[in-house]
Amino acid sequence: MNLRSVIIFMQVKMLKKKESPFKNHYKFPIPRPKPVQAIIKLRLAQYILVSLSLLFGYLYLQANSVWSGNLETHTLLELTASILSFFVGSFSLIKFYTRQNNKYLYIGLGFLYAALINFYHTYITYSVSTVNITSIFFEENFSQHASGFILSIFAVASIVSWFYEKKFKPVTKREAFTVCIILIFSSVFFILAIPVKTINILTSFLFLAAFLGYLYKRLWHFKYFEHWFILSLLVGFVVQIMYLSTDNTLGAMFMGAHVLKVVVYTFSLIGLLISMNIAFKEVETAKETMEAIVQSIGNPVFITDASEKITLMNSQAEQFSEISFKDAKERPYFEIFRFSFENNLKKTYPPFVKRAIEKERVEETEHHTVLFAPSGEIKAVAATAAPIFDKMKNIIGCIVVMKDMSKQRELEKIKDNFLSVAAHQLRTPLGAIRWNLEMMLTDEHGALPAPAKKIVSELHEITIRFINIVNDLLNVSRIDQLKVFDQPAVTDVVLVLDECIAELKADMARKQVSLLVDAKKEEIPKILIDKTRLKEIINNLLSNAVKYNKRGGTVTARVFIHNKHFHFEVSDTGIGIPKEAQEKIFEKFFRAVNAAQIITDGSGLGLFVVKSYVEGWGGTVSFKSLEGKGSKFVVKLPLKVKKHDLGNNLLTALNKN
Amino acid sequence: MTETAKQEVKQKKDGKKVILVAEDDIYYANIYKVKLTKEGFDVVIAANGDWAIKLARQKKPDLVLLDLIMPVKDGFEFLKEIKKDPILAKTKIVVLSNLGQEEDIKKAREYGIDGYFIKTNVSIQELVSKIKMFVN
Repeated sequence: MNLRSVIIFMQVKMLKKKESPFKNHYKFPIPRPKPVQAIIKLRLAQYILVSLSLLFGYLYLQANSVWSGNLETHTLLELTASILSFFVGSFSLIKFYTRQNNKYLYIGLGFLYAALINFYHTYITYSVSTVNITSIFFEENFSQHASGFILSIFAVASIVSWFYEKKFKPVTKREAFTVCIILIFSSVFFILAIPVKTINILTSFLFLAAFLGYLYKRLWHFKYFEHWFILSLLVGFVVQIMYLSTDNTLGAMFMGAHVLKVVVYTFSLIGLLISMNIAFKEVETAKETMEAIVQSIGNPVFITDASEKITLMNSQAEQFSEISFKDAKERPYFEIFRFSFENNLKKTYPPFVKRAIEKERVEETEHHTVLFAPSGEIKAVAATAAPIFDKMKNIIGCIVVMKDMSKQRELEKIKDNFLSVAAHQLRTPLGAIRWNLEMMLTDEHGALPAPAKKIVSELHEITIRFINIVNDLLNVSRIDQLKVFDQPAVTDVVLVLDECIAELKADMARKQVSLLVDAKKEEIPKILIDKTRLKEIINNLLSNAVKYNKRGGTVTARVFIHNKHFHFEVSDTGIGIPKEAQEKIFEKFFRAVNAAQIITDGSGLGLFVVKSYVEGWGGTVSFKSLEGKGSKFVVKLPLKVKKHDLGNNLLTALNKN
Repeated sequence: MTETAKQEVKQKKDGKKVILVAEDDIYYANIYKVKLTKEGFDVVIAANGDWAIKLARQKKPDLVLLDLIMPVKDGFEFLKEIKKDPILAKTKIVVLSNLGQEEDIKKAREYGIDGYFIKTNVSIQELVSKIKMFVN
């Protein structure tokens, strides 16, 4: 298999675009709201209609005093009113508890207070009727009109609060409650001290004010409760007018007013019930909407509860796992989705969903994770698990989004293959050239005349550089593909240093660079590190120090332990790194201008590799340099070198850049 | 006594160490042949894995220089076969390859080899001295 065929193969693969089929489009009916204008018109019409009918009713009752009631009817109406107002108050408070909207607090307390008064009035009326006072007129008790008064006060309070919140700052529940308490107690004074007719006038104004206020709020445009409450206020206002226009407590007008009082409470109750019904429906729709969203996501998605049991799966997930949601429901996710490591199928997979839930953060699967399907197929996959929080910030489950990684893995494998082939193809001729040249340089195969030998010697140097560039490139692509496996072994660092020095002896001799080594073998313990990588790093730094050095210059290498860290310092008297280049010196392929002028063929990869490895081990690499004077590179490594999965550490190091 | 057997006996008497080179690239093969013969070894070249196995059985070399990428049978298959054979399992094998991937090195080491060198990363002189070390 030669390089050309591999490249062609790869290009062909990338050109073949595969369309992703759009299967399993989940279609659900999107609820379309009625055009708002129609609703506004409808409701305005309702207001007008009610107003007109009230007007006509009023005029009719004014004209016809024929109908008159009795105490029994009176009692019945009052009882009905009491019960209704009690329910309205309770429901409103329930709504307040769930919606946390202060309006419902005022209204709820108002209706309950009114209910209390109404019950009392019912009792009075009942006891009067049983005591059998047949008098048509009976003493107007405060309780007759107090309920309307209370209701109007609290209605106005809710409007005032709304204005206040709009203009200034939000009102807390506690503040709203305090206002209510004040109103409750102060109203008692009003009820007892002020004459009835005055109360009626006051109440009618308050109802009118509240009515106008709620109209102004314009929430009746789309909220059911506000709309029906406005109707209540309207009717309530008319009730007060009716009370004001007669003194005959058993006359038609009065009776009409009592009936309308019931209507007031009924309208509010209707409004609340509709509003609550919609709220319930919304919850259902929300659930359905969420399921629809999950279903329509193109990736396999499943949702678990807080104990990792599956509560929802979309059709993609069903296909991917080859298990239907019906069978998967309520089972722990790892029974359905058997994750595994690609290169170690037996190893148990870490519980990343549990981790996401416990640590309350997003967790991802590792690279090269696979899924074991029931059919025996092994599917490359990547998954992200994110915890789900409710309004109270409690964790109620986890949502896991998966991605079929088979295409990526395939591409990676092609790249891998390409890498192997490339390495082999590039190195084969290079190696042969190198050895042949080396054989020429010894005299065993026929001595060369000195000038020819010099040329051959240079050819050899060039070849070595070529080999190094190829090695660098392969290193970098391996890092990029996480293929660098750390094989830590107990390593004698000083020995590695000596080896590197030995390999550079020829170069140093040619440039007449002298070397100073400060490494006391006894003082430096052996460390657990990958010897090949360490040698690579030391070699990179030392060869740089020689390459970019002045003729006759010096290279100093120091190894020592300080602060529980292993230090390796390389100083040179070379060309140094210019200020502008300093911040980029560790970047892939970067070469400073002055370096490129001296050594034209450097790859710019050496320091990138050094930094990647060192940081992967949890260490640091730094330098000090002065252009024209020299440089000093310092590598610090913790004596206990970090996590030996160099691949993953390198990835984080790479991603930080 | 067969011819080959006579040859073997002769070689043993000569005291020359036999090195089997399993290498399909003619340039490398030539270098090994020239250099190692000069160093006083008896060099046998096999251009594919199959021949390598046959020659290994025949010659019972003191050292095998094994390339991994070869036609017919590759280096890994050679290792598998050799290690299965009780007589040959103890043969010293040094892998000389341009494959430097971790997995390849790991894989080869699993069979049990005595050395692994990346051809481009070692000088011929160094290689020769290492070979001499292995053989003795």
